[in-house]
Amino acid sequence: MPTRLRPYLLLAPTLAVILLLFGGGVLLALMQSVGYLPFLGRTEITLDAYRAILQQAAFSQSFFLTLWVALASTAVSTLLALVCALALRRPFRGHRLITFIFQLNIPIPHLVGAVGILFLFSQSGFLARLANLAGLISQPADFPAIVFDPWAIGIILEYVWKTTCFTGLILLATLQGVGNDLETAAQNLGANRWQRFRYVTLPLLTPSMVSASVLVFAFTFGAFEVPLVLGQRFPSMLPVLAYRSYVDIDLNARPEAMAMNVIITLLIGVLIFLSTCASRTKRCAVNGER
Amino acid sequence: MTRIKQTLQPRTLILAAIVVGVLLPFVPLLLWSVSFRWLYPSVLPESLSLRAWQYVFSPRAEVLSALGYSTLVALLVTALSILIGLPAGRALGLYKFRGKTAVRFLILAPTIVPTLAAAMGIHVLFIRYGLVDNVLGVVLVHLIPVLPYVVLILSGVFANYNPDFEAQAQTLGASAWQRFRHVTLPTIFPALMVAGLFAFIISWSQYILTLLIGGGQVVTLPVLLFSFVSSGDNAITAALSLVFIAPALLFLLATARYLSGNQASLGGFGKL
Amino acid sequence: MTKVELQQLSKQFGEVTAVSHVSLTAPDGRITALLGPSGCGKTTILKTIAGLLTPSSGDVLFNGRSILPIPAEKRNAVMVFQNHLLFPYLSVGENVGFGLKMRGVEAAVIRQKVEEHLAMVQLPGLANRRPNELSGGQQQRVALARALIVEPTVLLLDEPLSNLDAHLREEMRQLIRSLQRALNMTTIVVTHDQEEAVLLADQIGLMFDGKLAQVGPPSDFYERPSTRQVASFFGATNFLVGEKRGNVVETAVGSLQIAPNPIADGPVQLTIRPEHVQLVPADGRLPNQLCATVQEAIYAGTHTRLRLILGSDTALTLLTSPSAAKTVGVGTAVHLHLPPDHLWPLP
Repeated sequence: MPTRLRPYLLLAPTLAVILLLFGGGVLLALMQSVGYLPFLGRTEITLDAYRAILQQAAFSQSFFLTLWVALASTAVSTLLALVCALALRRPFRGHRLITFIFQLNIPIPHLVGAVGILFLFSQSGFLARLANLAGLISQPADFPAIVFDPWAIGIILEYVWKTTCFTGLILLATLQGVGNDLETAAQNLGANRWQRFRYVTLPLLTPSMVSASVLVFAFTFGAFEVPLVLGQRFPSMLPVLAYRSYVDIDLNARPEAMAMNVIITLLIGVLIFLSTCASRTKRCAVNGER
Repeated sequence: MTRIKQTLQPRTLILAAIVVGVLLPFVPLLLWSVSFRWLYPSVLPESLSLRAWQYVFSPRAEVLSALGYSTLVALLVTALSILIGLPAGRALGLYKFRGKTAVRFLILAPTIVPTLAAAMGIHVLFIRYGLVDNVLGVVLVHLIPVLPYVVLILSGVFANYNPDFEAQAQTLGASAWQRFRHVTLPTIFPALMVAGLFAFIISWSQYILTLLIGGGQVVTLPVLLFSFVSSGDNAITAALSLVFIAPALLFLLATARYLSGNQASLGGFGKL
Repeated sequence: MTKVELQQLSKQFGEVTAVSHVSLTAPDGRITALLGPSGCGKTTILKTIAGLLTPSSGDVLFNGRSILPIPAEKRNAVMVFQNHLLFPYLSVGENVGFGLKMRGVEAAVIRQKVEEHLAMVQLPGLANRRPNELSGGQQQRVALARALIVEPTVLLLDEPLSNLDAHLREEMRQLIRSLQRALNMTTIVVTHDQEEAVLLADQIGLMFDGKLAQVGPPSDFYERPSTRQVASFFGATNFLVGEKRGNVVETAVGSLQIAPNPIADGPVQLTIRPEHVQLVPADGRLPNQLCATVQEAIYAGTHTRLRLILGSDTALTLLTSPSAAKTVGVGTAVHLHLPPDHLWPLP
């Protein structure tokens, strides 16, 4: 086999699947969003769908709700993950057990996480009962609305629950890969605890934190199951709105669903582009300083 | 004095918060699954019953068929994704070639761009080629979220792989198949297990892709679970949720040592 | 057994030429060393003979027949890699028996042969150990046993001693020599260490930059180097520029007699090894006597290395016994004798 072609031949099956199913899917979504639906007898290219959804109050409400949920989930979970990773980085008694517990929800499906949050935080849920036992509330209605609420706190809680561990494990792996030497060197040069964290540990973790946050943001922006279980019906999160339009009996809604998909995809694409650029310049700066 | 100070270190509080935070959502799930009557404001169920578990494991219930569908789909997806992803992992881990960054980016794109958007787009093609309402179509659409993870994990093991071992075996008389069977396979086996389990779990957890392409004909466990969530039968929902996470827990027991530490499996995500 | 011939062998990797027009015969039942600095293409040649690389042009013959169409796994030209590459997931015995298993040999036969070959490399009874329980020297010997068990037509050793400590090296060298003699196996060794090549090989092919510089028995490289580069690689430091006419060479320090040799008349460089330069009394009875001043004396235990200046700026090095060196301090004038037999002209 010609050596130069070898990697391409090895990649061919994967690339075929990704390009055909994923690339083809995105492309078809784009085509349908501009009104090209030959299977419905429509081939006229038009931006009507985009115009229509941008005028709908439902869309902009959904959009801002989704943005809020994604940003809040990402920010809170990344911060918590940083704290957890720092707490778990050095060995202590019971380290293995707690690390195991920390990994526990990585493979748990979001659907189950959402059910757990629902049973925990609904107004007649486990925590409301505990609050009642403690004499804090008397009626279920006294318990703050955390699920099916306008601020989507329940959704954010589920995302934070799942993704804190995900980001935390990435940061933990990075910390263990780097080791202690640089911090010891900084301490030797006179850096105090805070300075060691601020000028050594944090810059070392930044690239991983950016990567993980991007993954978390993209996921929470585009996910479907959790909002379906824990979200209000109106306004709903963007992916739910898109899916509802897609399965609407009114076939005119289909280009609108696709337009929402395209907007979700584009937004995430732009974000990833920006964060790659940012982390690349950051990484160059770090390398340059070394 | 110092003892008290030690036990109340901020880290101890953080660790306690981790344990409570991670485990708390499982508590009502466990309680609900064995409850018969559990009305507000009781903190514990007033009376216990195995009704939900009996229902879940009764031969009449849809649960067994859903388990069957879920297992069949997940196993097919796992086998197919490894078959397809193994060569790609080798190419990305072992070779330098033109366009590598672009190829890597393309393969990882489905981990970031929501797969539901792509699945809605491709749905029309699936309809045209008879890939809806059946297992084959569901398996194919599951490959979109699964394949990137399989390739990523396997490219990690091939990045530290010494192909000279294969050359050594070859000069000792090993044919191409024998080199794969006696050299490559045993070397990458642990990573292959992790990739396989990841593939299985990701496929196992899919809800909306299955619903969209399976069209209500391929009723896997999450599809069934969701219908119980909407119906409001908390006991059965809880029991079904626990059945649903069983393979995930087995998965974690089998691979915990690869997930933490400086192993490449998850660390790879930090370098995207 | 097997005579290996390389005919005009070339190998290119993209723009880079790793091996260029190498022709060499490795005689049947002998050890041939491919010697040269790292990156000179010697391992590329070894891999080409093994079938792990395909040459860009040229041919490889075993007993006069081209083996290029034969895939590596059927060539039976077994390579032992530098870092021994024992399969970590197999026991020592399973490693040694690997080649036989690939050939579908019965398990009982394999077990017996494995024991024989482990004994042969002086590791009897270690079949059930794991490779990582063995020392580096033992691992190297297991790798050797694993190669020998398939009775290779050609044994290819890539830097077999470079990963070993000095005292293990001697042991391993003797083992390779004695096994090779006993089995009468055509062997090609790649090394960057000239001393190792000289001690191990019947024939050396010295390579620079993908080209073969000189082929011959080890003594040739000391006594008749073909170029200044070859002479330098083998530790020559004394070079005198001159004009050769017959058996006399005119140099800046006078005219010197040399032994009859095939080099054409004209400009040459004379070389003489430091150990052949002699300190003599100033009596003028020997030919090629020269005056010199001692510039530096470096004590090296078994000998002392003297750096000398002849005339205005010609430097020479000589080796002498430490006791003889005591009589000549730095700055003293000495008389030298350059024996004509040991003066070798380089083109």
